[in-house]
Amino acid sequence: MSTAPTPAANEQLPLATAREGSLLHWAGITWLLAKRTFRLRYLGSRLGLGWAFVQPLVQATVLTFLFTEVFKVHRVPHYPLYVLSGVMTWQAFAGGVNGATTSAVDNASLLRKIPMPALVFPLSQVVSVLLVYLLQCIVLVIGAIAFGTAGLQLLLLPLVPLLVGLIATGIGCFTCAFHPAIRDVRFVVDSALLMLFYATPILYDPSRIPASLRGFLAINPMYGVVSLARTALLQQPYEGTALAISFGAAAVLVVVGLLVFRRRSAFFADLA
Amino acid sequence: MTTRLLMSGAGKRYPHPSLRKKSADSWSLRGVDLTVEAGEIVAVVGRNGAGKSTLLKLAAGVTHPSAGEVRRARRVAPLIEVGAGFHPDLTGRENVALNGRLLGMSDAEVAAKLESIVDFAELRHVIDSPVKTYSSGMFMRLGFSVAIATEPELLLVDEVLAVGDLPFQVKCLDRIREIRESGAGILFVSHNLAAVQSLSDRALLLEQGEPRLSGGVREVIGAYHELLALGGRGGELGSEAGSDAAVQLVSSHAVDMDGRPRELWDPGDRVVVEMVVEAREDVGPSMVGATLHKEGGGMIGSWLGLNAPRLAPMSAGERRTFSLEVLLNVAAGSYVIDVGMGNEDLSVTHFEQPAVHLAVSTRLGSTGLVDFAPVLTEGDRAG
Repeated sequence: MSTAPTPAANEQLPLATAREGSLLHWAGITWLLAKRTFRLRYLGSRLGLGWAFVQPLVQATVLTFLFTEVFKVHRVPHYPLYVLSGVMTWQAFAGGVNGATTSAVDNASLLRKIPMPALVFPLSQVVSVLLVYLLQCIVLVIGAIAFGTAGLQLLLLPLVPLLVGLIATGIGCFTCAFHPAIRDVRFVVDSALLMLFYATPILYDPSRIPASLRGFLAINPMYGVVSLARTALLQQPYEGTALAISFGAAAVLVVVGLLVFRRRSAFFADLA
Repeated sequence: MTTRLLMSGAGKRYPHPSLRKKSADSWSLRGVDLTVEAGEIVAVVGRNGAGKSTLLKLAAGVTHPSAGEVRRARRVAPLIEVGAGFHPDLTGRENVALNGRLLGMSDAEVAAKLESIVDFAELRHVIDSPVKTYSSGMFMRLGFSVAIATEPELLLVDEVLAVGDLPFQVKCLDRIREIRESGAGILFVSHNLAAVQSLSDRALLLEQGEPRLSGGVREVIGAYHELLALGGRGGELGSEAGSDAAVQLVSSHAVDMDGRPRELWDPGDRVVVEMVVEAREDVGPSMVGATLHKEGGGMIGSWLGLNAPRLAPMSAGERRTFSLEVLLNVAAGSYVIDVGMGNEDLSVTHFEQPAVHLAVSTRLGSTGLVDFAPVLTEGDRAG
């Protein structure tokens, strides 16, 4: 008689690296981590969450002054709301991508000690940024009411955080997958986001750009997202092609990002 | 019997192959076969860098094995570093909530157990303060309390018995025994050999990433000590220590009064340290001295052979054998006897270095530094 455990008995024990907790459990943890990140961002400051509004408002004020009074480049109607909606949307996207990129390394102490799916880290970063953005959207809607541009098209607004979340998740998971092994990734991401910022019509009106070049700009998935925000808030004409590109890109980026992340995250604990 | 952990041929190679520059084969751990059954405590001992932490990480499942297979029960409490993931700016209560969830408890479970966790950690008065205001002992107590509250099927313990003060340590050990009673398997890494001996059912000795010996605790601890003694401290020293000293310790070992080597000593044993030295230059009559150290715990005693006979003069190249008999009235632990030799007025030291490592077993119920061998008698003793 062999005393070795039978193969059948072994099968009952899952692999140590299997993560089979219910999806709901890990979704709950993602939410918990997102709330923690959100809370920690403002914890200890006197103004607290107020900074989520003061910062972009200051930025929008400066930019409005700069573009309408100093440069007098072009006149965009309701420029303060125009630039504020662009800045807030962009910051949500860039914040999500940046946070997600470094999230595995930032949480290395957890990754090395507690068995858990690494995906909760980039996801919780994106979620926490979206929480801030959703609150900022309230300010944007108030702005739209104040400028008299609010209307039925406001119903499109919820699509904006959805798209921002998906695109940031896709790109953020992709960059996060490489960051533990290649620490240059965060700097590459920084530079790429800076270029993309100017390629996105946040400060300027894309209709001033030659049509041929504009088609080229719309390849940037954030182009469609930002213009959708303005359709919702400022009754800007709706740009169908750009929007389709954004949705398509969001889907592709999420799938590619998650697949790459799944492959590479298996070795995070050894690298982070 | 239910198996809680099953490692077969498990190995881990760093770094990940995709990052390895040259073909440097650096296995941190290799060929480990290990099972932990329900209700069993298995200890892993070995020197620093022997692969103990890698083994725990594989068991926890935070890292993938490069070879072999690791299977384990679903619910695991990895006490690899207590309080891992505690955020300094959050309160104790908030950290417990998050940590408990990460360790697999549901929201409701966390809520139900929060009070008992706080009570176990004895931190009720500060539980709503940020943990950055905690002392390191308080921090660890809280981390330990959360982890053991998860009712794990497999508990992985890495040196956390150094948590807090003595009463808390005793409480932790009791709790670990309770968890064992409840049917969990426990894998336990420690340098505290007394704890290993008093807690474990079996033990595994790792050396340079490979399993050396698996079996009874006494046997494994003994082999571990042999390894310590050989590993550059005592034994065949060669050029290791004091190569510029006038006298070299060629070999040294500890035997009992019958001349037999022992793996494990008991409190109260007499130990004979036999040494062979070789003079590298002419030395006059020499005085001998010795100290007894507890590993990681400082000096227990020191002795100079002022009243002892001097060793006769030696000429260059001459070997001399001598021995020193000592009484081990110390409590359980790991000890080192350093032996030194100098000229008569001690103005010149010929050599001074560790001669032997000794593992002393536990006398049931005895703790502290010395073993004072209490004997209880009921009634009138003279009668």
